[in-house]
Amino acid sequence: MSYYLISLLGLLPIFVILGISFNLLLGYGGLLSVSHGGFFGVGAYGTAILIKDYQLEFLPAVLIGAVIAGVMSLSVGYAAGRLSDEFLFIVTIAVQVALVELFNNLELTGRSAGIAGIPRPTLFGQQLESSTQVMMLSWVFLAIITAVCWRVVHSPYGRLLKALREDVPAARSLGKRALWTKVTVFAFSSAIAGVAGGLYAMHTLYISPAEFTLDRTVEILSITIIGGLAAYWGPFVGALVVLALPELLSFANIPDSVAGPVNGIIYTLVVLLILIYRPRGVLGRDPVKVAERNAQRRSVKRGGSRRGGAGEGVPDVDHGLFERVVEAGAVPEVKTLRSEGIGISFGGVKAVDDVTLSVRPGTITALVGPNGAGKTTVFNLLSGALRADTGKTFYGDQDISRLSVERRAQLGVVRSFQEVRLFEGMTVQENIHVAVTDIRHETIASQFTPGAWRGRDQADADRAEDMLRGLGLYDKRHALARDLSYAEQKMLMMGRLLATGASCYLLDEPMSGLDQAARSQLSELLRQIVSDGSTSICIVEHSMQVVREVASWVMFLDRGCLLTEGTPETVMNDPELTAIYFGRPV
Amino acid sequence: MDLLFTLIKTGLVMGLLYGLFAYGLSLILSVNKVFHVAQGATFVLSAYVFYTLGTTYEWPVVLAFLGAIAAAALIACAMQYLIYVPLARRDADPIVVMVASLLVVALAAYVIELVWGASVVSAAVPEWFGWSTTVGGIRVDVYDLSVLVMSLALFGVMHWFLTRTYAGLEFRAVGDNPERAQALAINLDRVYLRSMILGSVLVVPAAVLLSLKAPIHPSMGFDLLLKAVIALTIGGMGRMSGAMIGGLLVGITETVPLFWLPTEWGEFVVYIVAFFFVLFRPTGLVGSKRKPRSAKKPSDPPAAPRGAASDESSGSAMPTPVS
Amino acid sequence: MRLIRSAQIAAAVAALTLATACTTDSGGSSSGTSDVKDASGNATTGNETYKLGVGIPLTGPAASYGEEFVMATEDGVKDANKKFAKDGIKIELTTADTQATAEGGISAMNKLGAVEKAPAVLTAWGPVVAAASPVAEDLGFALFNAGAQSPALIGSSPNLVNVVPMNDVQLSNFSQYLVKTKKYKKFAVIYVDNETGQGTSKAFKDSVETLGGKVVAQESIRQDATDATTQIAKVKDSGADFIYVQTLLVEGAATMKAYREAGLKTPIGGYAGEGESPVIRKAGGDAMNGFIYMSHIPKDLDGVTKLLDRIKAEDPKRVLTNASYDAYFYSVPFVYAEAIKELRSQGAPVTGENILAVLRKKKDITVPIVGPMDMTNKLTYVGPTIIRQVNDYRVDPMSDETIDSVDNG
Repeated sequence: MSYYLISLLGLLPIFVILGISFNLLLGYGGLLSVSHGGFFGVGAYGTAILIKDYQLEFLPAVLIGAVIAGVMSLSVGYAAGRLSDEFLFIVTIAVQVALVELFNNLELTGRSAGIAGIPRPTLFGQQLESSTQVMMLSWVFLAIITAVCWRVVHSPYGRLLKALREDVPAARSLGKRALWTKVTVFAFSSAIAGVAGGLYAMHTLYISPAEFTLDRTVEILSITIIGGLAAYWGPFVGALVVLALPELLSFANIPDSVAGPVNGIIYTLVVLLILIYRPRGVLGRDPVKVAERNAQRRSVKRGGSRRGGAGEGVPDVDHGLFERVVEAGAVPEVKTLRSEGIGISFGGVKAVDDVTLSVRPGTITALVGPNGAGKTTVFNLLSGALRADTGKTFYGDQDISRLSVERRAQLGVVRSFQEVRLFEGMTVQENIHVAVTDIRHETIASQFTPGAWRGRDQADADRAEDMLRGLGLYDKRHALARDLSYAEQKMLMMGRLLATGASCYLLDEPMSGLDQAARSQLSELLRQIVSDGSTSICIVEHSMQVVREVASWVMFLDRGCLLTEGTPETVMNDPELTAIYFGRPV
Repeated sequence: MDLLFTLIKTGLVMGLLYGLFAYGLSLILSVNKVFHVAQGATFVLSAYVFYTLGTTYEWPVVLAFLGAIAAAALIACAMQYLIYVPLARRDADPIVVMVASLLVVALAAYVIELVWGASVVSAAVPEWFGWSTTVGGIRVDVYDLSVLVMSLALFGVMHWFLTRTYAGLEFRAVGDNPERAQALAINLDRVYLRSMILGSVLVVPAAVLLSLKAPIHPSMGFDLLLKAVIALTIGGMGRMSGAMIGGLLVGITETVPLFWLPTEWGEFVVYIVAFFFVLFRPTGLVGSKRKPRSAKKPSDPPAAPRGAASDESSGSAMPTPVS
Repeated sequence: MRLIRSAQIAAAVAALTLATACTTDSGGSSSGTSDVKDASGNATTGNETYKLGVGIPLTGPAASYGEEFVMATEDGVKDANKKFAKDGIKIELTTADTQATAEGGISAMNKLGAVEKAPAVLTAWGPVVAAASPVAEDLGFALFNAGAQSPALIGSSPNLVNVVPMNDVQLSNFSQYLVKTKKYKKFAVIYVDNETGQGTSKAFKDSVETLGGKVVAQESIRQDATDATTQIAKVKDSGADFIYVQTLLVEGAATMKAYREAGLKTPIGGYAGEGESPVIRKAGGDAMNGFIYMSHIPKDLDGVTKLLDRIKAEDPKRVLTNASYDAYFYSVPFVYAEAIKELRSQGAPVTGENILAVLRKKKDITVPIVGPMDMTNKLTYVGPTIIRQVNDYRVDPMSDETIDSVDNG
């Protein structure tokens, strides 16, 4: 009996490791990859071959195996950075099948027959003798991997991953590195799957391509989903269900002739029922509750010193919000965003033609024009979402024409979208927290530096909380962004932009959909922002009312050309422009 | 040269079969927004129903075929009411829905093992199905012709249905934008159910034709499902024409390179080609020109009064043209 | 909260590992010794029940074979219990599902070996046998293989007993017949893309080429593929004199169907799995007539027929697929009982190690249908090769014509 249990206990940690690493991708990163079983196999083959044919010790063998798995997964990671979910799904299926075909056809991997007679591993010169020892080795690895992944998930990196899951363009507009982050999470997760593969090879002492097919990936997927997407301890439960349930059923007193199918039916039905009644998984929880609990834990840890803060009256916007941001960042240089003759055409139609403009510090510039004038396209060109066919864009003295959205954002040019594009499934606080965090602290490696242990992230969290007080959203900091009112969402969006500490803000219709009160609050905020004389704001706006209220400079765009610019009064009072704006008779 | 022609013909017929399998998937994907992997279960169960009626009870092929269609419709209703509706009510993640759908495929295999046994069986093939002729040195038989005719006929009928009938227009409206369709007094639940039934029934011809050609067994169809999914992607998601062209492309990629390569690398070639194809042409062959970046999970934009309307609206969530 | 929970989990895990570490380690065995151990010299006399584990696929694609093999084994147990009742031996069957996969195999073997404590376990399928061997060594049970015929398995584990003829001898006999008697020179192989298929294809090539023949095409087909037009077209193109086919059911049917449709006149053949399968025979139709196959079916064809009839009587709906294997599954309970009888006479405990020790020494085991089984050489039975030919695809495979036979005994 005990041997049987040991065998199961030896398999359990391997499945849990697979579940945890897959949860990084699917649960936290929202990346549906169906090639995990294949990378699991790469690790298993790597380790087995190195141990059997090259007589390596276990640790170097499994590390090399994991690195190979990680490197091979770069292709998928690159695809993940380029493609949306449904296509990533297909690409990963293709990689999964192709990997199995490779195992099946290469002499190196023993073709279909696989690799038999793998010796038990040696560890620091010590030969492991029994499956009990291998089982314990697996549990040790599980403990280490659990700790490492816990750290990664509950770090700025993990938060960025969630933000990318919610909305990639929004994250990039805050200067976040989307492609790099996705590539690294794939490599990291696949490398861990590779470690699991190494342990698996040591557990079974025989591997063949059939162990690493799409079925295996689906099994890993089930483990993760039964446990709960983004539920950290979910894979423990999921693996237990997937592994133990069929074993328990095999002890049930079902006649041999029908035992197989009946067990299978019971097993699939149980899992189906779990999913239908708990689609978040067994341990999956409401993200709001999780956020509240985490906050509570944090404040308890710090002796409740900050708890008083919640009780304070909500400060007004003019309570020095902006000063805080400036003090947080470096002293800003005065820079002007300007474009020289930029233009772009879509399918032969010039959407923007030879536009030269500059957004000066200390002013709020409004970009106006009739529908279809190309205002948003100009924004896309300035922010880097589109690359201009002609012309150049400069920020200060630097030519930024060829820089990506995130590089421009890192230099201080950030934009908002017509839609609010918050990280809707994240809390209000997390939305700000992501933006506050420096991108240098958002790599996996940086989570294990001394700075990370010294509460660097806590400082960011405090800063985010301060900002929320300023925005009047402190009370709702644990609400999900999608549950806020529209006006609150807009405020949060502004706050998220401000939190990046940028010096040039391109705001696409910031006032649309707001009532009078909210509008004046936001106008006040905008004026405050530029009051330091070094920050610039450019808005696209339809309401002449709003333009008069906030803008100190107006640029008029029609059919992709900049017609004129000047103070609001001069532009608004030009009868010709007014005619164009409100529809001219042609 | 004969070999090459034979390979091309084999690839085309295989490809049409993949397309035939993919039509239903495509319809359900575009209307219900569900990756209906359980189509594999519908496929194999309707094949077994066809086998039981046609071979065990010796019904005529046409009646057995109708029986299989009825079975597929029943399975569709069960899927919709027992799996998809409860999951939607609990606001399940699309991935959870897909895994549930996959579990149904496994469940179906077990149910078949229990009811029909695990052995491989062959359906009775009517006499006329064995007819064949040779055209330009290439053998063509009833199976090849049936696949071709079925594929084209279903394509035509579906095209007509979706563009010319009111029910079809409802499908497309719901596929484009459920909220707006609802505002037009279209009953969403009814359309979802109908499209699930129609989509499931669409797989029956493929199931019946394959049962007449090859032995049937509980785990059949999974490979076909995988290829159909690839075909769907290569061709362009959610389009009937995409399913067919994608299917043909997969079929050709699968067989023609074998003129030069050893047969054991055939599968590898298909999937590697699919990988690079999707990576560099993610919109599919007949896909619209949409920026791959603009894809964002569907979410209800807050009801913001759009000023005087906006400039270029940014990319919509998922392109859903049906035809 | 969460910290506490994780601490709890950690504690539980630690406790578990400790507990298991303390209670086990008895599994380790000293394999490799060949003598019967702990023999008291006083013969055991009382009635006793001995467990025979059967690890076979009961679900998944291979389940249809598995069910048939279990039935054959059950009949063997019934008959062996009758025969050895006077010796006080009763064998009890206990099954576990391997799904024909390595992982399923390990789990089933652990269950049969450690929970059921069966001293001997009967199994089949290459991956299962390969994965089960280390478990058998750890737990010290004897592993009977009655289905996997890959020569790589011979002597691969001290605990593995191959009771079915391995296909290296079979293939060499068969290619001898093809090259020497039939004078074929150029061969094409179509094989299923799995372990057995790849292995056999290679072994066939080797044995044909040592005899001076040549393999001009080796084409693989995916398991469960429904179309083999491509493979047949390529084989046709290669200009071979003879086509050797090594597949399982579904792709085998596709292969024979494509062969028939292509109107190929090249002679074709394979192994018993194809020649005897009604599904493949039906798919091949007329083209199946003349199909030559090597079979390891025991010479006592009447005995085999009786066994098959009996299985059919027990489950009339069942279509039997692998007549030539059933007899070997049927024979294992007898082999097991013979070994037990020997151990009881020496007063030695019935352990896996002791069973193996008996089989390594005892040359004169005789069982019904298969006849004498000598497994003293690397614990592997070497049986006759029978070469048979399908003359009418519609008749029962048992009535196929035997055109040659080689007695390797």
